[in-house]
Amino acid sequence: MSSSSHIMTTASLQCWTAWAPGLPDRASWEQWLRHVTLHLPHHDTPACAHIPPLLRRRCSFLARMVLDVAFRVCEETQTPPHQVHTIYCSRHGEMQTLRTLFDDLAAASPLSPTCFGNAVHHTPTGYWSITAQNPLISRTISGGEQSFAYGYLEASCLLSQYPEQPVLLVVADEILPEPFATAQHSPPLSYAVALLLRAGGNEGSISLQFGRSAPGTTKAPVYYSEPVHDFLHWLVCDQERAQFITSAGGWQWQRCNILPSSSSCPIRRR
Amino acid sequence: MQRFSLTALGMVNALGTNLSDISAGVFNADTTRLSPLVLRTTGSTVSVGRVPDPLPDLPAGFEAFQCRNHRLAYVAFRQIADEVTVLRDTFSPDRIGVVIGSSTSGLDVSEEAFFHWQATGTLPGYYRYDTQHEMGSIAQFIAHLGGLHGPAYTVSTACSASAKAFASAQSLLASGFCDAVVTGGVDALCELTLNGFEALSSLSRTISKPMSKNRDGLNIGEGAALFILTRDQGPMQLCGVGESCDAYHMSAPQPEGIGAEAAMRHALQEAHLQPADIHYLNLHGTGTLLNDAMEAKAIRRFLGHLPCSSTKPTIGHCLGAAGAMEIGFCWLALQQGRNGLYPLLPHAWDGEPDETLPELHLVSRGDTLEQRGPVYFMSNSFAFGGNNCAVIIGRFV
Repeated sequence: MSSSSHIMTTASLQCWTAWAPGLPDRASWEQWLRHVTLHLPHHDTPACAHIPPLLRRRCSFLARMVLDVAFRVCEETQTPPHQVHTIYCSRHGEMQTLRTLFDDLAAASPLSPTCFGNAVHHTPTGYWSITAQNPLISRTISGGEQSFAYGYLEASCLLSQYPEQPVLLVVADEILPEPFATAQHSPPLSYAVALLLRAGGNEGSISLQFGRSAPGTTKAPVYYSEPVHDFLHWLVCDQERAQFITSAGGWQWQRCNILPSSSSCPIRRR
Repeated sequence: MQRFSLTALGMVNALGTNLSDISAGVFNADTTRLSPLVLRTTGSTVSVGRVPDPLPDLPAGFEAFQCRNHRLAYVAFRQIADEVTVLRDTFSPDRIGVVIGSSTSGLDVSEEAFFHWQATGTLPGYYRYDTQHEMGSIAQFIAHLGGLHGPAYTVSTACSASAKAFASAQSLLASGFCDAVVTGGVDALCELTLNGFEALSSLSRTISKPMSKNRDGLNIGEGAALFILTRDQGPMQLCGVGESCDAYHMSAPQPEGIGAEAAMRHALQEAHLQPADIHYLNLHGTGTLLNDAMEAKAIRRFLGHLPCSSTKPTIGHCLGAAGAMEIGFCWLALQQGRNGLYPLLPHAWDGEPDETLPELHLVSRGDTLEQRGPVYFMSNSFAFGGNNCAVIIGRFV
């Protein structure tokens, strides 16, 4: 491995928020993350107050979760939703929607046009651009267990290319439906996490250095099956460095300088 | 945006499994390679761009990846394998990335497995969701094939996916994370997309006729197109990628082509070019009523009367692979230029213009471009959710 491979980029995290059934806001997530407790199965649907009811009814569940966190993170940072670049990453995408369509295919019944339109991997971003009236760059990626790290990488790239534009990074996945849950380790819960990132340092935000981890670095403890949950655990527990080392190589986040917190969205320090 | 070099291309589609057969077919506007298929859900017969040739099995050790989608990728990869080896000898493998556009990855295997599960209560023994169907698996498969350890992920925005893969690939080079990226698109035919487009009443009952007054929809195709993108200053370069969203409707384009125009404008800005600098445009040109109408309006308004064509009737609309496939066609045309004379890709259709649309300069078979100095070709890709992308590549002698 050459030393030149450890390029680090710096971005500032202005705010994050998340949603999962039973964990509707940042406060409940912080509590869950601090105590590393098991997430208990729970039935709930995100409120999505920002979406007109007619459109909301057409959204997939994944899209509802994504829009809920995306609008909230923009609102809390007073960022106009139509002025962000969007990176959406999901390992499994619309598997729940596909499952419904597979039933129709198996029965040789005509497919529902709305359901088919909702089956593409980037479905939530379509609803997002429409409801946020956002015409800017919107990328959707999937990269196995590293989906979140690659999403963050894409966000870093956009921030260096267009430093004036904040980046909305959303990571979301759903519990896999039968029979696919038996073929693959499913996420233990359906969730969406939104991060609002800006280039450089901003008051009230955390500056994060991100890059490939150096060879020989030790692996940070893994508490969750979803790397983004370990990342958030690291954030709320205020450790200095987070690393994710996988078969394909590791990624590392490191706090570089923490500015005084005064924003309406404090990222709490203990 | 910084320009990067497109140094190698491998392709497979309904026209063939190598560049010379594909080139012969596309420059002849050959639509005879499409074949009939009876749809599972409606019983209608449509034409599809299925790759007719037998596909090779994956090499030993890759059994878990075995599926039609990844075998298509393997056919394209073998054509650039020597260049990938050179890359690996030149750079550290963890500095070589893989960014692939796909709309469904190996979803056809999940369909088969699901039908099997419904009938028997168990999944078939060969089935592996994570290495066959999972969206990221196609990028991971190519990374494994090439022994590449850089970032490897899939861009999945349906019909614009592999055009947008070029945006991500250039980002990885520009930011310094990678020294080279294998990029392109792969998609295989599957029941879901065929029957889904049927549900949207978007499938032609014959061969698609882009920009014709008789146009009645699209044909779906399959294939793979893989490029190598490097920092070299070679003759063929990626000059600009433009991205936009319609912010209008989930499955219909904005009727005036506002989003399409925004993508083309952004691509020109990134390439530091003016509309008049573009010498040829490869249309998204699906042959649906709505796409062609909005695209024609956007082109006449923004680019003017430049030569343009749709090549989709020769191979079908390859969905997530379409962008890279059509950038591949542009690459072939630019690469075949000699002494300032470039072959242009003919528009495949029935020759009957739609008089309700702005008139376009559609390329005829045998048309050429005479141009000294740099030559720039653009390719359009538009997707569900109003996700648009325009890519400019250039030849610098």
